[in-house]
Amino acid sequence: MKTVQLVSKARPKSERLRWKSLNEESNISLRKITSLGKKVNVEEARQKLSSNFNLLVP
Amino acid sequence: MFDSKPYNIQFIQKASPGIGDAFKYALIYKFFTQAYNTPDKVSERLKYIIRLELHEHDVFTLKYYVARDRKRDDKYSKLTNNSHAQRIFVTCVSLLPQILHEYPSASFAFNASRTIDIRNNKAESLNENQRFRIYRAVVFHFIGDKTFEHYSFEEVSSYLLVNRKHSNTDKMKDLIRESFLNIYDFGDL
Repeated sequence: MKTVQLVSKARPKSERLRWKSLNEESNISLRKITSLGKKVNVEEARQKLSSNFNLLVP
Repeated sequence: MFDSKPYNIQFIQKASPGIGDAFKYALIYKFFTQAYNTPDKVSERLKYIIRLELHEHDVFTLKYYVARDRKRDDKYSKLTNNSHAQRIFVTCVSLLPQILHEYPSASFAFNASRTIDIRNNKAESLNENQRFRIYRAVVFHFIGDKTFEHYSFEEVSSYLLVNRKHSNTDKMKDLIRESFLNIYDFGDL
């Protein structure tokens, strides 16, 4: 007998539409943002984390 | 806090862009998470896909999702509730030294998808969302500031590592930002 494995559960249409609507609402607010990007002081940020650091890239 | 070991990653292929894709090509990798059982929770073993898409100015965007969700439009914002978020992102970041070896002037960008909760009809804020806070902490832990200048776009939960091989990283940051705005069509940004 063949075993059938469930790969991914299909979402009901209503759920897909609700997701789409919420996502679109968020995208509208995204258009209002004028983020220029802020330079990060990594050393200062690390001091706040108080952890042992294990750099993969110097 | 970040004692998580990365999962073993396997390279799958170098993929060409499809219709409507704005990247030059994508490097695709896979890895499997570990299943575990605790008295409170059962976590299944999941296959994840990592995509590193190469854009203009030698910038790779880093994306990942659960392989079984590849056709879902919410694959980047879906929660698996497996409590693996930190280790999964550590796994993605562990690819950076390898990529830098092959592409020494590469820069990297990532955007943290907001969680959308359909049941409660709520979408997480764009500003410094939960995934972004985890990703940023992982980056602080593993990526230094000698190779990259770090830029944070908190309002949109995005982070950019500009390679210091560029003499003017601020200028390169602006060029990359402009290039992404053109690709992703954010309107009046």
